[in-house]
Amino acid sequence: MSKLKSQTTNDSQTGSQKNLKEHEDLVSLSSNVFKVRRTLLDQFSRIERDMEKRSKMNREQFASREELNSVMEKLSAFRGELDSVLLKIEERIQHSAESFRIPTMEAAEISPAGGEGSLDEIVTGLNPFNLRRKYHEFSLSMRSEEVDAFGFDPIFDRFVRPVFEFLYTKYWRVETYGISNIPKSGPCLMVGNHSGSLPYDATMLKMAVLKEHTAHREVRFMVEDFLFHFPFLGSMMNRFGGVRASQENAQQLLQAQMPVVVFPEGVKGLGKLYRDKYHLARFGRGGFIRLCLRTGAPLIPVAFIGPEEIHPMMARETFFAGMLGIPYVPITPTFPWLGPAGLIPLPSKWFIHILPPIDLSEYGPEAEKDRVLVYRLAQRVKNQIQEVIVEQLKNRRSIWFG
Amino acid sequence: MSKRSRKGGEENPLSDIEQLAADLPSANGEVYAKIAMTGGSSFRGHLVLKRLAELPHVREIHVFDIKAPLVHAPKVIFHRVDLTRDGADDLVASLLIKNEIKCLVHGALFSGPGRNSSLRREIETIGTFHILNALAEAKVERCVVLGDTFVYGAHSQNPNFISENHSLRALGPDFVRARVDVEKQLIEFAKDYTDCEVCVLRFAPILGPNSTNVRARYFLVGIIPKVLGYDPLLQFIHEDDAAVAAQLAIFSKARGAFNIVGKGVLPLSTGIHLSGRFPVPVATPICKTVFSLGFMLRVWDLPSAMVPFFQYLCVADGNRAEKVLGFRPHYSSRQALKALIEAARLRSVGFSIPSSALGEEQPLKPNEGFVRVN
Repeated sequence: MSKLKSQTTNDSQTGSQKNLKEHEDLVSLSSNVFKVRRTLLDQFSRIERDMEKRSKMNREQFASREELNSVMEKLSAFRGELDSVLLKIEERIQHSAESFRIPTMEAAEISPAGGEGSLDEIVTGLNPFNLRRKYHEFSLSMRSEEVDAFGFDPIFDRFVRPVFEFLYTKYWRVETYGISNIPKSGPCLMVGNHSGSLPYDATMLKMAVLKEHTAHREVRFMVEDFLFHFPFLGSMMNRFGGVRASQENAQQLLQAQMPVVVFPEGVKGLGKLYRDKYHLARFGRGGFIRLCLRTGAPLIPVAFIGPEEIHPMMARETFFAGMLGIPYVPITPTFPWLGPAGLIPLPSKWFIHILPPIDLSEYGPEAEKDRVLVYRLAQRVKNQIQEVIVEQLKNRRSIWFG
Repeated sequence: MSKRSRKGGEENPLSDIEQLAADLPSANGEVYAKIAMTGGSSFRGHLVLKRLAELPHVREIHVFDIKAPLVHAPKVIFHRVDLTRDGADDLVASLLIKNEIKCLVHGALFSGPGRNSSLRREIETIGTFHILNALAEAKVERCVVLGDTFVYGAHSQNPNFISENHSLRALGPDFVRARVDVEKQLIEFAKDYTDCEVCVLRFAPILGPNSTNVRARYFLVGIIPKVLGYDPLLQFIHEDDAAVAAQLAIFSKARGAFNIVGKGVLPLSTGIHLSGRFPVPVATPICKTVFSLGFMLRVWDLPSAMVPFFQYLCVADGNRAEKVLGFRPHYSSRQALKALIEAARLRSVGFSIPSSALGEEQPLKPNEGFVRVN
């Protein structure tokens, strides 16, 4: 284009070669600048749209509104500056073009047209062939760009919440008692009986606290090692609040003032046979008592009625499980026989009883070295949960309807 | 996450002196006018060297390396030393004594596995051995080592945040074992020669507009391999932050190990989606084979030894560096990764963005940030 232009200028004007060269340089520079401006503005408008959306939906939990505003201000300032520089260049082009007496066609062509940008956007949006970009955009729309320190992703959590809401209200018809025993702020350690092959009980407790507690708190639950490192399952649980079960992790969470759910029975509880249902397994070595003593967090026993029946396990298969690297493969009336459909949990009726908190701070942090005390406290918590379960089972008439 | 716990472990003597170091403000360290440095031509060494060369009170920086550093300043004096050769310790010691140098920065360590693993092992273990001998001979007062958080290794048993007290296990891939060996040498040296303040900085993978290490190349190649069904949390540090941390550590009196990490974490899959490249998930049983096949065919620069780092957590806790060194990262992990990706994008258009353009200390004007390449 510029070559053609220079020919016409040569024909029309026999001006000095120096001026001409300068003009050409200017035109090439401006086209380069516009190219870069285009890419930059694309980026900025994307960032701005993103930020506006976020601040509107108030989803961003990691940046305050002031930070967002300051970034937006900086972006708009940069944009203004860029535009002013471009205006100056445009003026100079027009000026030099006038001095050569050529029509300012090129300047008009280059000048940023709002319609052109949006048309471009529509074209790229309709293009079925940039699948990779669409794939990345779609995947990023389902997640926050940065998760919190333990892997909880608020946007992904919102994305999967309807599923758990359905399970909570319609499928298992969970009834929660004593939700006010969970403090409105500050750390607390919830200790429950574990069952049901997958940590459905933890997610239901999480939903209960989220839906029915006055403060709508986010609960973190501890997941056994073999489940946490299971492909897909582990990373998914990590995104909606699961953390690998370990003393260090639980302590860090409690010190970050979060409510934490632990299941001291561990794998023994998960892999309970149907004939042993509602008989609590060994409560570990009292690690949860030591945690409470160390951090001063209140301990809240929780009794679950119902999750023992969702996967009535007849036997544990260990030979093939060993080859797969997991502790056992459950044999239920449905599982290996119906294929993947056998993994659908049965719709039993659930009750969650949250018991009054036990304050262990009177013993002081030194008491964690007292083995006898720790073991005795652990037994007491276990017996308390067991008693509540026995009492509630007496009153229950049906597994499916309560 | 303001408060994070720290295990009160006694296994690692490098971090035993925490209490002592906590009492001393980091600014009270001695201001060294002459500093020696190994590995000045590496990327990390280059960052630190550039930073030191800008300081007015530093008058001489002696660089011991096999390759001349890229920093051209009259302060920088280059000595060609091959740390793997016998007699390297004598040579370094004589240079240290002759120039009366009291502070050494040991940066001749690799940021990840490479093609030549035997050379890497030799330089890391034998090089450190020679340097420690030279330190003992020249009675150097302060030694700062630029290490990495991958010494903790990516194990399934790792807690979400690894503190400096976490015991180092010589398990897993070769590059981790070699580094654990280096750290053990340092611990022994710190025990025997208490006159020398040994300070080990363990950096998270350094990303930024100019970084070229294994982790940076991972996000920039066309095909990104990942392990099917695993999505661990990653942690990075921006290159500007890394340079600031190194400067703080050199001019402080702190001893022991410090994790130098960026703010926050992000999942691996989010990083891949941000980079916009094509991910190739590989199932666990054939993972090692596929990774080493791609490595052999030069599709990517990741040997199969890196596989656990794409399965399990290796995230370190940076609270101690904040308390003792007063180091506070300015960029988050995501920002570091984004800086890398955006810079690569701009570079493909023909422009380059200097690392401080996102600006913390002397913010550039927006239109000054872009520098023409070629």
